[in-house]
Amino acid sequence: MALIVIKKSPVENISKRMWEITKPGDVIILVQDGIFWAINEKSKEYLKDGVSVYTLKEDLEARGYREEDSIYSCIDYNGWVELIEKNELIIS
Amino acid sequence: MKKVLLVVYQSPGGSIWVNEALRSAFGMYGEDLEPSILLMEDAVVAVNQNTHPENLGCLSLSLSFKYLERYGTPVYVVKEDLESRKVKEEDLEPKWKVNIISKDNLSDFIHSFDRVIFF
Repeated sequence: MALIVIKKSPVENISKRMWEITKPGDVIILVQDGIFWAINEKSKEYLKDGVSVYTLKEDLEARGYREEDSIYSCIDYNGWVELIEKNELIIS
Repeated sequence: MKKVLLVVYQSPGGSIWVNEALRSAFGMYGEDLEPSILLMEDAVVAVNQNTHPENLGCLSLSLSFKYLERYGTPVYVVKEDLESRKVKEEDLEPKWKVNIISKDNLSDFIHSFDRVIFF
């Protein structure tokens, strides 16, 4: 299982590639401009079965959105640290 | 020994990241780390022998060749990204000794490392 950190917005092709490399059991966290995926229904087209997605609340709110705007569950910095501890492979 | 993959996706013309990834890789030989480089998207043009970022005032990619040879750092490029950017096999700079991998194998390939860092 890997934790995949998506930092770039949907307009950047590399962030689409990050979704594509996921495998079942992986976890995605959307941070920085990656949070724009969390307000974009199109992200569901890239989401594979068995992959979990979280949005970093602080980065979402810093860009003017509220937790309820995110399609995916929000976590805070402590939650992010827990994900890092749980996953042996970090792809960032 | 931990296997580390350094991934670059930006073109060497106008960005520093290909050289920075290489510099980071060479620095890892002093640690208990085994680095590899993956070039994807626009970064694949780095392995074209006709690519000369030094013409734009950037660092020359050739600075890294002697270290690539000395350490044998594996360099991987994504086949479909080469094709979409019209880089042909005969264009490849032999000193890179590139390993070409398919986009279909990218997920398994990336998951085979202990750490993956995108530049």
